[in-house]
Amino acid sequence: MIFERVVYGEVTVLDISMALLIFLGALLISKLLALNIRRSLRDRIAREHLELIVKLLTYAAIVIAIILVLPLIGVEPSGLMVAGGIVALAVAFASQSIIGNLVSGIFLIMERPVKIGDIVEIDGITGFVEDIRIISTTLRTFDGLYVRIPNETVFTSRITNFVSHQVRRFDRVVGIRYSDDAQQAINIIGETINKYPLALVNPPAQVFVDRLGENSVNIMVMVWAPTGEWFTVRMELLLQIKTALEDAGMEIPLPQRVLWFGDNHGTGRGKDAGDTRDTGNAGN
Amino acid sequence: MDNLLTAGNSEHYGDEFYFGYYDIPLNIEHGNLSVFVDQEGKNILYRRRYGGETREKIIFGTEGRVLFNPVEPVHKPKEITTFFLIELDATLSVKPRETAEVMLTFPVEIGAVFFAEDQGPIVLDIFTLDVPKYTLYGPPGTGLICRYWKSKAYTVSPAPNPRLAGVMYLQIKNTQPRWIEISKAVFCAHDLLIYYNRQIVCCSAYMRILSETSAETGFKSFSPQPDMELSTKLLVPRKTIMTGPRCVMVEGI
Repeated sequence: MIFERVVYGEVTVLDISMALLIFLGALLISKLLALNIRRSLRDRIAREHLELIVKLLTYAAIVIAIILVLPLIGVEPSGLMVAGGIVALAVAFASQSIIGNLVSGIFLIMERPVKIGDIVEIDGITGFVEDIRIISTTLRTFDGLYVRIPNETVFTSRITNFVSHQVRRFDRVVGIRYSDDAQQAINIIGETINKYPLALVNPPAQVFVDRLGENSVNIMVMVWAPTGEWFTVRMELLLQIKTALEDAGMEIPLPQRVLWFGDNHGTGRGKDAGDTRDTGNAGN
Repeated sequence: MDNLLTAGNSEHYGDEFYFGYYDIPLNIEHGNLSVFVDQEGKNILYRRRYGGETREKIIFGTEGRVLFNPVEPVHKPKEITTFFLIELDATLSVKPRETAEVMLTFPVEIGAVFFAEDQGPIVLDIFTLDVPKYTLYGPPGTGLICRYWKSKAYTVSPAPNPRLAGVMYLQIKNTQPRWIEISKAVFCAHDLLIYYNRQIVCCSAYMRILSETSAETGFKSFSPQPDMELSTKLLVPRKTIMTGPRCVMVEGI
């Protein structure tokens, strides 16, 4: 039989044929894997990153196939393994941060906690995600700075994605004087919110007296807005609330302190002060 | 173009504002709304004022007419969604495996479109005489931002102000073997076909109940009154809108 013919050493034609088949099989599997990865990740990651992942996987498949076929063609891989292991150890030490970033990048691309264009806070830095590369992620801060963050840092940091959900709430405290009618203020704020288009009907806004402060009655205003318009709503609505309250004769009180003098203590109580005690007629 | 030639209002100067074609020059004063369109040489100057907002547009080197018609209620103050939600004043109960027909009102905005003699239409302006409100349908994470509208369910045709709202003929089909209660309906405005004349704006829609908490909604073809016109669709298809003309409500009905 031709397959049993010895080519060199103990290697027969059958061994070489098997080695070729395994190698071709590995190439075929790597091509199928590449096709599948391209198809499943096409909409998730940028084309250049996808091609890099495909290349890495293809080379890995080829390396595994070579290691598998080496004994068939008469090369004992154990010797190579020792040499390769030492080289790999040296390379691993030299490039551990790159490998860490690379692996983190792959996991970030798979998990997708952030997307390009999202507003996020990563490692204490807030800005727009400009790009998610295989090694690093770049942000553009609100003041226009370019910030490159290694993917390992991104992966291990706490990430806050401000635009991940459809809606976002903003909370603000509006202080009014003690002499103002708190219920009227709540009604005015409620009407202002109702007239503002992008303050959502549902989830409903909440307006309530939150605290009786030192200088003011603090009214908590909680309004839900579409995430993309959150900042606009916050800016415009707060101004409209202030204007509406002022139009109704209500002012945002300044911090103040009431001084009582010995001869007329109790009568000099500040009109707008945050003291809720009964005054009585102590001074007269 | 025949309609364009026959339905125009020659040199309209007055307080009345209704949907239809208008010749230029045009000056409308309707409550707080002021619309002024004039031919300056070969150019058209459009100016609209309402509620502290002013919109101006100049179209160079052409002649034509202006159409004011009701359009999809999702443009103002910003195009943040293509969906609108109608919340019912009182819940509707539909018998098992029955089809019910009710009339609701739905919001409309006003589109000003310029038709040149030999060119295609150009959108001059979109505005609303109402205060639009928005809402969330579903949970904050996966819900849908919708234009909000509250309506009664009518058994005889209501007569809302056509500049603010239209009449929706809604067919509700309960495919379930039990009574179903409906308190709201969500529609995708992409497939909304609005018909109008001077007195009324209307559309036809359906709602197919899929379960106690889900339904499919959409719009139906409709045979309007002979004098009714079909509105110009101003909603531009976007890549993000992949749901098609039908809308499936899965967060409650």
